[in-house]
Amino acid sequence: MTSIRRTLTVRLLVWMGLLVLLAGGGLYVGIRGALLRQFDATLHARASMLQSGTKWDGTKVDVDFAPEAMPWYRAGPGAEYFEVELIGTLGSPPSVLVRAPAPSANPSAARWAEPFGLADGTFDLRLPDGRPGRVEIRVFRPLPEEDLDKPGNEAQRDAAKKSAPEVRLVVGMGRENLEGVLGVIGLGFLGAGVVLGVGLVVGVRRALASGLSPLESLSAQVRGIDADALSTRLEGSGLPDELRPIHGRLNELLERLEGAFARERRFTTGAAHELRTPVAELRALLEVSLSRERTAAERRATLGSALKVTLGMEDLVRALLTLARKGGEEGPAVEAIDPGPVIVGVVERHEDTAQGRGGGIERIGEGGALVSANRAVLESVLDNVMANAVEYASPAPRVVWRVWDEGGEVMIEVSNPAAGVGPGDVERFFEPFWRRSESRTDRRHLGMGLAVSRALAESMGGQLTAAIGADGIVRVRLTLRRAEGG
Amino acid sequence: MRVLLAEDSEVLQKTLAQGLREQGYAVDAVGDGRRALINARTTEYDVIVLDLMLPVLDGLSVLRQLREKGVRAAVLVLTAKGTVEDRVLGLRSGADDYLVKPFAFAELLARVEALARRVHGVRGATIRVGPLEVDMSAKEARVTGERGRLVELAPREYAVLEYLAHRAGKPVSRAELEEHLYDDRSQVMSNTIDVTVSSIRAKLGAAGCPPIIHTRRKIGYVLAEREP
Repeated sequence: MTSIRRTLTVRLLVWMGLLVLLAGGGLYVGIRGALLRQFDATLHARASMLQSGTKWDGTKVDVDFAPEAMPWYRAGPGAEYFEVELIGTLGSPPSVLVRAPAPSANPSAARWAEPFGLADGTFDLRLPDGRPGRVEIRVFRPLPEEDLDKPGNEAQRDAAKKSAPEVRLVVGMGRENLEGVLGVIGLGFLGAGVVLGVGLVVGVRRALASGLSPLESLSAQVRGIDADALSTRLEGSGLPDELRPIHGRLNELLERLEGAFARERRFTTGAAHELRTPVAELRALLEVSLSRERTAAERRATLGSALKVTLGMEDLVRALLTLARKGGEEGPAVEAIDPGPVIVGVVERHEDTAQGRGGGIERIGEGGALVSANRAVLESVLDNVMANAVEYASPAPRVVWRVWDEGGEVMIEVSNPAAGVGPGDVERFFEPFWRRSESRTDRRHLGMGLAVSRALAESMGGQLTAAIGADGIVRVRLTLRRAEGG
Repeated sequence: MRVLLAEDSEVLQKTLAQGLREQGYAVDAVGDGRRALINARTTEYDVIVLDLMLPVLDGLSVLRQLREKGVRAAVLVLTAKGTVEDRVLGLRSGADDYLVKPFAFAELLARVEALARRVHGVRGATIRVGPLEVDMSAKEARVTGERGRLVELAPREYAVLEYLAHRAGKPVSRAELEEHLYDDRSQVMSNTIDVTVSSIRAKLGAAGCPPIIHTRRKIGYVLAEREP
């Protein structure tokens, strides 16, 4: 299992470690280069001093070397080296004109700078006393003595210039001090790197722990939510801006889930509840009948009652299946039909009931538009809506039908006064098994009529909605698509 | 024993009432809460079988009002609501027992019997009075001893004997017997109880039982081993 904290820790440490290595390495290389350039500048100055002291008088090369003026060439620990050689001709070895005293103490190392031959430049090498060192080699023709520069000596000076032999100057210095300084710097860098690394590990872990704590808190809250705790809402105080949208969405999702679970639970409980009574009826009928010998007439009466109960259960199961199929199957075949005759038929069926309760049914608007619907399904939906309106309206109900078309849709609305119905009741009209009263005196009412009607309306591409106005009038509206050519 | 059955399902009401009557109970059946409340307050029932989802007045309201008015009949709540919360609510509202639909009729009978015993302070399923043994679960009476044997009683006779056994040692008036053993459908003649008791006495004597049902002039009857 991947962990954001572990992944971030590893990645941050790797990247920061690399940055520290690169920065430390770069700094070390820079310091080393600067120190080396400074070292080479000293070497170069030494070489220039000796070169300027090397002159040609036309017959021999003089090297102006005064040991007392150049104490760094004295033999001893840390001594520097130099030698000036006259380069021979025809491959003969160069002859040493002068050299620092130190190498003479170690004759075996007399040719210490031999491997570099006549190349000009600066090189690393091991000095005659075995120390690591660095040399600058110069091959040049010495300038004539200053005396030849005097006026009147021009011809002699020119001749000396032409006849001057090639000379090789080798100047060497030990690098132990430089290496020592570089070693100290390197160790310092290493130590600083270790401290920085430990600091980074601790710092990164703490920073991530602190930075990710809101996320982990949110995660812990989410982990604690299961199907039995959907009423829980995630605590959002102190959440960073990045997590606020997630927190908000999760709470919205929880609210929807809680609502969906509650509806499912009500549906399941309602279905089980509705089935309990007819099952109890069947069981009681059979058990009481079987408890003693019965006459044929008694048995027939029992079977008749059982059949009646079974037919009621069949209605319930059919309604449940209609709801279960909602959205899962193709809807009924629709055609362009005039809803007028369907409405008239429905009104005729319920008019007597409405009048029996001291009221009546009134129709407003002719409509006339064709709707896209299935005639039998439309009739079933309207019949159910009308039955509810007539039966549950206030005493002496005045039920009003309105039909009108609007923006490609046809509205069929049934409105009736319904005392005691609140907005909360209207929201639950379409919930299966919902009844305003918990009694079920009349077994025809399963509390599923409007739920099934809505499913049927949607199967035709329509909508069935309900609302209650401030005047206490409940309006149930069926919206259907206007048929082409209607 | 007299039972009030308050159930709005017509099929269930009719079937349960028939089954209970066949077991010797006097049963009054009503279909709504208001009538249940009126019946329970005007008649002395031993057991009330009460559906919770009643029209007009729901079962819980009926139950609460009955307890407030001091009605002491045992109440068996019969309902399709079977959650723990529903059962707890029902029992805390004054119900003595709770039966969730669907149920076995035999279980309903057993619970009604148990509640009827509890109302009269009887613990076991058998009541002994002298040599007479009344087995309320088997619905039969037996005379013990060498000459003892099963007493063949008609359902109504058994019901009278069982009620007297529940109140053994105490006088029971004819009116009380009529109230507890005959429902609203029964037509009770003025001497019905006397005729029934006389028949029981004859059958007990034939089964070898000494006189055990004693007449208390102007009061009624007492079931006791010796005449008090």
